[in-house]
Amino acid sequence: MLNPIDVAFKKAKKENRPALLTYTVAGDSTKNQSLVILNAISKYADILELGVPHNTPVADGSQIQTSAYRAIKNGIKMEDIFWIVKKYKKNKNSKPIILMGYYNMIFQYGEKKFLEKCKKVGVNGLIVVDLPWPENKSFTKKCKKKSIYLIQLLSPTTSKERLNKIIKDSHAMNYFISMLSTTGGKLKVSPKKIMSNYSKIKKINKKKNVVIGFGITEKSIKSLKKADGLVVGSAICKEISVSIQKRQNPVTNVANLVKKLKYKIL
Amino acid sequence: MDRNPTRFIKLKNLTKYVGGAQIWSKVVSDANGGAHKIYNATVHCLLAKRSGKKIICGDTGAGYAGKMLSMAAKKFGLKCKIFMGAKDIERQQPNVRAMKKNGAEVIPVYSGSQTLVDAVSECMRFWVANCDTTAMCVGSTVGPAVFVRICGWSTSQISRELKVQLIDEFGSIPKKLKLYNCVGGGSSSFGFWNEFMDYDKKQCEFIGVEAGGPAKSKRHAAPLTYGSKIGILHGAAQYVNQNSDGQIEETESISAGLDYPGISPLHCFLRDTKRARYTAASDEEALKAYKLVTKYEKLKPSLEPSHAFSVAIREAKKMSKNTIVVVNSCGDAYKDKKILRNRLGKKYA
Repeated sequence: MLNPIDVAFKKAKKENRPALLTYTVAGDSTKNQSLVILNAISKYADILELGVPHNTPVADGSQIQTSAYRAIKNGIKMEDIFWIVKKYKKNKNSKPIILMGYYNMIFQYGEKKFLEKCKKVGVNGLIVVDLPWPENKSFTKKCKKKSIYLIQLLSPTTSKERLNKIIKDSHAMNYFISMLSTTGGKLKVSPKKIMSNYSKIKKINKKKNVVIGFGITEKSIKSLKKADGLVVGSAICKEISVSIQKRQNPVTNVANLVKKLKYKIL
Repeated sequence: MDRNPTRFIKLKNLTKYVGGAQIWSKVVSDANGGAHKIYNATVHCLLAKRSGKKIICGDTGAGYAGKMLSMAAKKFGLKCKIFMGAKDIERQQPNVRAMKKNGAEVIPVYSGSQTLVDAVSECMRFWVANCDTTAMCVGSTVGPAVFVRICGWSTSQISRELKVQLIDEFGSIPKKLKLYNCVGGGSSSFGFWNEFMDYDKKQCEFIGVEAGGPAKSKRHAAPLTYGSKIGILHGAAQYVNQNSDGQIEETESISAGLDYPGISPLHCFLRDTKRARYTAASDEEALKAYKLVTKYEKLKPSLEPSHAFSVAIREAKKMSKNTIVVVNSCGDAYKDKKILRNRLGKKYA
């Protein structure tokens, strides 16, 4: 059986557009609200990344940090995150879910128990920011046994030799970090340069889907639409923060933003 | 630059007062800049030069790692950026002034607990985004493996010197040698012990003193002493203060240099293999030790080594006269003026 992630990419390709991936933090700003947001953006996004908030998020810029701290402050726990996914997956129009987070949370839960729980609630993929290749080899195998994709991160400074090795060990989806940056940085390289790096990665194995993320906003998304998929995270987290500040409804604002993003890549 | 080794001195009055083992000190605060951090900083700047980088960034807690990096960077003509928790900037002003005087940019970190753990995170974020032009110096034996190795090797200058000094003084390595050192990230203690690693622990015992925090607080910076679980922080597995979900817990200590929730993987290994023994001293115990040392000796250890002195003094009482206790006085109290004045009065500042 195909992983629903593959199905999502196939559908987007058929429509001659990149898949749209969103990133929101589980529990931002509350457990219930983050679930409502997932439901609201399902209509427009193809794959939903759900951040597991961690209080030492070394790879994240200020927007996602703010979201994560807010969620933790409002009491989000590991079990709540699984609850959110479980509830969300009951939605008829639910999309594939990728949990994205830091390894300590998985390590404390126990790798085996964590993957069993992921399988049970319907998680389709994982991104573990601080468990790079080759340290992630054994975990990658464990994921595969549960039919969960472990998505590898590739960056502009990853050497050719290393790219080959990582992609060889990877599952059907990989994540290319657009530039040297934490999440939410200003796009400091040209889309042309990003696409040329992307093509080099794509050439190594054309069958594997590669998404681009970091620094992608409403403004820049169109220029990267030749990719298999595009991830927008910080811009969405920022929308939630701004909505809360202005006492507006984050759910409608985020849904509108994702809708606009979708139209840009059609 | 002063090429002489840092002093190895007998604390005669303190020994007499305690009335047990001979208490000695390796006065590492003699090192250029006033602490052991100069060794790591110098090596990182050499590496930065060699790799053609123009900027070097670093984290700091007590401000020593930052101060030394700014000194070394100035010497080698590198631009320097130091990340420091806002709380630490407030409590370690003399070192902040020194960094600025050396031309470094001090970037306050307001996230989380606003101490060392957040400074390290923010520094890593900056480096990730600028690694094409910038080299990173991790200020202690923490972080990804290569940084632990660079720092451990360079800081071992302390024990390379001490070994020679012990042989000069006693003719050979003493039969009963006890090396006391404070442990935060763990660079000074690792550097103080490394050359003695292969000796039997019955001959050369290592005692690491963590920061127990205020006596009345549940918070501390002593993951080894208080049985914290293994976790992953800043790219390394280590014992670290955390909750059951794996969120890193805030620490509390009077000494900014020890205020870190994790500890070097090197020390985790030394504890698990029982090569070193770890214990903690509270804020109050460290202050009491500071008072004692400054009363009897012409030595002003900073709050970090005062933790080590506290345990050394307590344990030396019960030891024989032929036992050689050496405490690494790895920092000078000048930076702690403000805290000492508040806690002990003007007389001690």
